[in-house]
Amino acid sequence: MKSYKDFAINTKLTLLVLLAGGVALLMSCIAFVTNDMNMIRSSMVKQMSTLADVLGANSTAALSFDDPNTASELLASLQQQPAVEFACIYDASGHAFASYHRLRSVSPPLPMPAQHGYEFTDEGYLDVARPIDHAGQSIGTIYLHASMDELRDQMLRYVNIVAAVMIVSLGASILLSSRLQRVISVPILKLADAAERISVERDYAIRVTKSANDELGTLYDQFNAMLDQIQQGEAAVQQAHDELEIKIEQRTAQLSRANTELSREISERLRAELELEAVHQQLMTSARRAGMAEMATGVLHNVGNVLNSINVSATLASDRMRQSKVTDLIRATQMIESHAEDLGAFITSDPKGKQLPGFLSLLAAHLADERADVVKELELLSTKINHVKTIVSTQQSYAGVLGVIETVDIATTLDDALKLNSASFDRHQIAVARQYEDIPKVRLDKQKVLQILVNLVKNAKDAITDGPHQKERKLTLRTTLSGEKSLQIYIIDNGMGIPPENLTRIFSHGFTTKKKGHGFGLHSCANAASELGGSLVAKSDGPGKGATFILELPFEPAEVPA
Amino acid sequence: MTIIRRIANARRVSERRWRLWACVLLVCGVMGHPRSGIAQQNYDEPVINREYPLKALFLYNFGGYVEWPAAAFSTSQDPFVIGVLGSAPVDETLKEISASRKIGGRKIVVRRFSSVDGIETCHILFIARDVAPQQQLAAINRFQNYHVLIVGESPGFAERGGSVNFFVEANKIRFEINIDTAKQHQLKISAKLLSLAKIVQGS
Repeated sequence: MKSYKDFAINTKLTLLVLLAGGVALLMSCIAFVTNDMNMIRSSMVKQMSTLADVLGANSTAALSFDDPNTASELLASLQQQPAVEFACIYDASGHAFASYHRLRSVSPPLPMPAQHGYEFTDEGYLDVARPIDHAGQSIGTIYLHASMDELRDQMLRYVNIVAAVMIVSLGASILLSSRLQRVISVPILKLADAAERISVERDYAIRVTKSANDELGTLYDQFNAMLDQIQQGEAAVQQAHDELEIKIEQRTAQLSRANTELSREISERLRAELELEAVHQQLMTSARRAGMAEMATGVLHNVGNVLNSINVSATLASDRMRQSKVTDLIRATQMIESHAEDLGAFITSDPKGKQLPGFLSLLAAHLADERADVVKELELLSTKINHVKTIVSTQQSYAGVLGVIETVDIATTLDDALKLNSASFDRHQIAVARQYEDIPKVRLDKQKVLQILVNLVKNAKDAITDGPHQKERKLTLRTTLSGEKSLQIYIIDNGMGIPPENLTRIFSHGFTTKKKGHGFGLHSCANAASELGGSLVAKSDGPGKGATFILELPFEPAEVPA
Repeated sequence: MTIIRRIANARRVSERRWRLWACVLLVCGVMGHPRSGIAQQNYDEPVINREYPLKALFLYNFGGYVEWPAAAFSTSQDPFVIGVLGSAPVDETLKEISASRKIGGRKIVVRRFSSVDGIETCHILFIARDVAPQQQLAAINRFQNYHVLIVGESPGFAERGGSVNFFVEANKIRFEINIDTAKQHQLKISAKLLSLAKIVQGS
């Protein structure tokens, strides 16, 4: 069931007219009928009252002279009044005096009504009771019982009339309103049609033509004005759209240009990065070389130290040989040769000759001593040469290819670093403390780690030797595990220390406080540490208070044999 | 009456209508209305016993249906006089009526006459049947030219010059009227009254 709201507008209008007209008609009909019914009722009351009065007046004599027959005859005249079904005359004492039954139905004589007047009973009767007066005396009462059939018939007639009138007038108003409602519905439907066409075709150029100057006319004007606005708006939007499109194109072009530039820049940057990479590689190489040089310097230094000793030993041997008593032997032998023929005499007689055997035996003893000394010196020389050999061979063992991950024992590596500098420690009386935690073997780039450590150890040694004179020169090496996969190596010296402002600068390229430094050692150490994925940090409480270098290295734990 | 009451009591009928009827009947009996005797079909109590009270009532009622000329009264204060000739026992009833009612706005006065000569001016003269016919005629003649309604209760009374004459018919008291005599007395008798009466002509 469609609700009233969803009905078409002309149906609504027709219904509206019908409803309004119908209700108005019905109400006026009801009013008229009610009024009429009331009038009929009151006229019936009046009629019956009059009838009762007339009958009463006519029956006074009959009452006065106790003549019920005459009274009955009088009442019999009610035959002319079909509405009256029963009538009764009561005497002054309330007894039924005479009665009349229209139909000979056996209705018992009713008791006299309690009061005069009229009453419409529930059964549809009108009961009228009037007093019968004579000469100022109430001598009885007349009672009429009239059916309201007439009223009912009238009512029925009215209902029929009203129904007929309603049907006819509603039919007429349907015809009329279906014609007249077009005055309102047609413009609205036209408007709705236009609106639908506009929304379907999206043609905002459509206009509606008004047919009247009423509110609908105004609505049409407004509609048209709205369409104007929409059209303008549409045009504006279209324009904006076009402009936007152009702008987008421009922007796209710009963007693609920028994109091209950007890609060019990117490729340039890539090239630059490649170059940078190459430079870095070169730098790395040179750093490595520098590291190697550092190492070589260390090695050569050590070797030089040993060579000094060798030189001393050689000089000693050569001096010894130069001061050798061999010349005395030569003079003795020449004396023997010149006295070859009289050798015996010479030895026995000649004063000189007599001393010769003693001299020779002395010389022999002396030469024997000499030989022992030289041999001793030569043995020393040989030992020192062996030392050099050891240094060189250690160096050679680290001169392998960089970037090889090996299974490394950190303690051994630290010892190796120390060994490469050992000569200096002895010479400068530097005590080395080794505080190694029990660290399992790890996998690391051993060459790089060693390179860093050698540099750091040498740096510490230099700090100690260049620093203030101390009772106890001390270098501490300490290892500790800082995590599951990282370890820390502390190189602690009590040397000259680092002023706070230099704590970071010391790692920059070219920074040095040494007279002969080139400012590359710590820099390459830091680089190497970061290449290994670790870090190198310097700490110091200030000048003269020593320094601590902490090398943190991540590692791959070596597979522990089960 | 007692029977009814007894029946009513015995049956202990509580129905309202019944009690109402019983009450009505009781009242009838007490008041001694003539109809009550008929209604009860009580043959022990003949209607004749009620004859004179009824006739008295009728006499009073004639006052309402007969119009006397103005000359019948000398002043407006004059009473309406009902005279009775003969021994008819109507006095009691008439006195009862005259105590409470009036005729034409006048007090009712009942006068009893013993002889025709003693009759004074009156408006209704009732001549009882025990009065001798000659006396009756004398009385009629005496008031020939007076505005008097002469009422009798003897056969042929109206024909002999009376205006109204009572008679009993079907156990009811009826009356006949001689319009001519009434006219002679300048009395106008109401059509209503005439409609109840048996009209007779003078002989």
